[in-house]
Amino acid sequence: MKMIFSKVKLKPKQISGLFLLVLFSAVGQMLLPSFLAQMISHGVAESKNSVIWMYAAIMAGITVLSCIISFLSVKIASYISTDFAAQLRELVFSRVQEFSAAEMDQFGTASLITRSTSDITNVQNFLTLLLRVGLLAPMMAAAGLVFSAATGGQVSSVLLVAIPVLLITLTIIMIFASRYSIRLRKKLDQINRLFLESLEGVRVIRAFNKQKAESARFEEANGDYAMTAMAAGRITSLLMPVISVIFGVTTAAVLGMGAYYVNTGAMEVGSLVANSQYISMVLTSVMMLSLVIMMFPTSYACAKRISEVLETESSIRDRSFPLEKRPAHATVEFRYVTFAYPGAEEPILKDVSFVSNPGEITAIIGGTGRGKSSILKLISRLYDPMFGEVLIDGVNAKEYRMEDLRSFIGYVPQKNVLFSGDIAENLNFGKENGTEEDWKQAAKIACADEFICKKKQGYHEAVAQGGTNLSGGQRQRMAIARAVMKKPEIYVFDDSFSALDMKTDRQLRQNLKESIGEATVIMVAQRISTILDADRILVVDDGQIIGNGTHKELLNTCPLYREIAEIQLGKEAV
Amino acid sequence: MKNIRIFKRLLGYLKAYRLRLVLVLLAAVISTAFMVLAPFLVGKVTTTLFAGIADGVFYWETILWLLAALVALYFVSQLFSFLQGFGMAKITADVMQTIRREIDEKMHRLKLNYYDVHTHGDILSVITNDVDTINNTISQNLTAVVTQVTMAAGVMKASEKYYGEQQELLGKLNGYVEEMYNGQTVVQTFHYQERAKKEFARLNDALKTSSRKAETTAGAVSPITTRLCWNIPGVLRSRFLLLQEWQEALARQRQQEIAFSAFWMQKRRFRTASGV
Repeated sequence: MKMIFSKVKLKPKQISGLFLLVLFSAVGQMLLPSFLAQMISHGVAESKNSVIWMYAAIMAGITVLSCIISFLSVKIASYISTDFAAQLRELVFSRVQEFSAAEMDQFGTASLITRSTSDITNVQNFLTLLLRVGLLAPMMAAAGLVFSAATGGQVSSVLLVAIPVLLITLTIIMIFASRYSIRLRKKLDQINRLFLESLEGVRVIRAFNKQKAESARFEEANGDYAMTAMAAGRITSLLMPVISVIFGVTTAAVLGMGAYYVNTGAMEVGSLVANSQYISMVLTSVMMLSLVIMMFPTSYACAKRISEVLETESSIRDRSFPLEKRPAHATVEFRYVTFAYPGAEEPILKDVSFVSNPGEITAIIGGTGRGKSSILKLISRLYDPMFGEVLIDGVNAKEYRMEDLRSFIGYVPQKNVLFSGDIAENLNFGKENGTEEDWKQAAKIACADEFICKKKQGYHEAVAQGGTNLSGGQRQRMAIARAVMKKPEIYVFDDSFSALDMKTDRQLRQNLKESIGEATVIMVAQRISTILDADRILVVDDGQIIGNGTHKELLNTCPLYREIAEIQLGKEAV
Repeated sequence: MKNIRIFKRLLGYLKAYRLRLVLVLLAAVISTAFMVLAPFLVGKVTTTLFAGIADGVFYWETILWLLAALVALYFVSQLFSFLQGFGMAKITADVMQTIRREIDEKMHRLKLNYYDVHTHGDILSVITNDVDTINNTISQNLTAVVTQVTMAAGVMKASEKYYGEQQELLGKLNGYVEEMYNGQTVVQTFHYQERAKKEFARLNDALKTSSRKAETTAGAVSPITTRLCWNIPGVLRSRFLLLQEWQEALARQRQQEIAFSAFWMQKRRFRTASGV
């Protein structure tokens, strides 16, 4: 909480303004019963119509005034809380943008999304509640007690019984209700899970004609939820009636006691009526305040989760090696690099060394989960190695400003993430404000121009989140074109040709070769055919490089490579 | 027009529970009628006290009877109020179950290309947020209609527009967050962070403006209705205050007001999808 309030700038003027307005509002609410008492004592009791009308006018005036004050305070409260939420969202989003892959892994994407969205909404709601109820209720309770004591102290002793009874009842019902709400939450998660499952598997379910079975499964959870929801609803519907009864009995007690004091002459009828109002105000305030307090733990938990994000610093630090002082260009060198993912017990890369020079293609092949992609992630400095050095253009990758380093690396990730928008916007990831000419050029190299031109809207055809309205192959070519847009010195392809047919694969490699000039290419591949003409092939197994050479050399020197080649190309071809 | 259609559809769901609904509404009416009598009784007490002072005799018996009647009134009224809530819980749970089932079945019938252009999060939010919202509306509004006879209708209409807008903007913002976080690798390697922050700031600002409008219009309802009841003596007034601030405290009011637009959005999504 402290953490959040130290980062979010609230305007003191707004808060003190709100405080004043709430104070006015509390005083106004307190004045009304007093005027009512006066009206009864001086007007009604003495049957003076003019006095009654005068007090009625005063009360109407106060009512209108407090209407205006309330409206203003709602407005200010909403300004404060929306401003708070907007600042907080921006802080969290900006912070996450700076996170390296390690922090993303640490929190998990789903959890970060929750922290940036619904957690903030929850804290915002609590703040609104605090500003609107939390400020007013204590003032009302205090003022109510003072006024009540001043105008007819004896009857306020009813509160000594009423408040504890109210609090105990509230607590009991809330305990039951929250028990149900936890169960309800779990069952709702279950429904959502099943629904999401069906959603993700909708094509498979259709293909196997399993809609009925899926619906039956869903309906079971659905019915279960409905039963619990009904029980929870019934518990909560007890709350208001019970509270009302407590209020009613309190009123009756106040009137009864008051009648006694009126009889003994210790109290006037007017102040008795006023007192019954003061007392119900105190009770209302106590109840609202306890509600705020009950909601606090949940909101506090949310605030804590948000703070955790804000307190986390990216583990990757920026330096500022000037780009123009680089001793070499388009070279990647690994020197005895050992790397483990944060939290992993075993390193995924052990003692990896290799060099890739300008104009060369270095291919990496090996079984899945053996560390091929990790090599590529270290080049773009998504992670830092544990031991050893990654040299980019002759300088340790850690020395660069991240922005500089990534400006000359074209990365094509394994998961071809595209973003919602249109094709052009996605290509412009590689070059801000790219022109149609840039798009066409990049798309031609990536063999994407053809399919893009077939779209109705061409380069302005819509792309769905994740690019799901494109085929796997189209997505890969888009991701390649996006990287080509950068005109990088270093190309990094993470298994980026796997969804292409052989012909496109060959064509694309041909195009790249012709267009990249002095750039160096590092690619992870599954298909031997893709890497036949690479200048260097690294065979990775168990995090180590067990073979380094051309296709021909490796056939003789590396048994594992020979085995893969025989399986893929056939014994005779090898 | 569209609101009427939605309302009709919502009524369609309630049709099967006609008898139950009538009983629930009857309970609400009885409860309210008894509550209305309370200030009348309190007034009687004061009158009796005045009469006692004027006559120089103290009418203990009358006062005690009146107070006993007051307590009894509360008990009876709140018993019916509880019965109403009790019955309503069953109806809402059932209707929600039906709506969820229909959405699930619809999901299996929709044209597949619907799933190409909608994110999972977007569709999922139909069954989570939107259905939840309707839930709150049915369980609270129906009750509120009878007990409150609220003059908030006009303001509701005004804020409904903003709430719809706010909900849409919130969805957009959350969608953007989800997308950028999921694509973090690409965002980082293409140094898209600054551009992402800019776009986020734009969405964030729009949401802020919209929710201010919505909160202010909706917030105006409660103080006004509360204040209008000022001159209704003690007990009833505090009950009004109670009811309204209570609802606010649970932050449900906002949901009530977006319910119709949310429901409409859900329907629109599925209608366009199925090409009806």
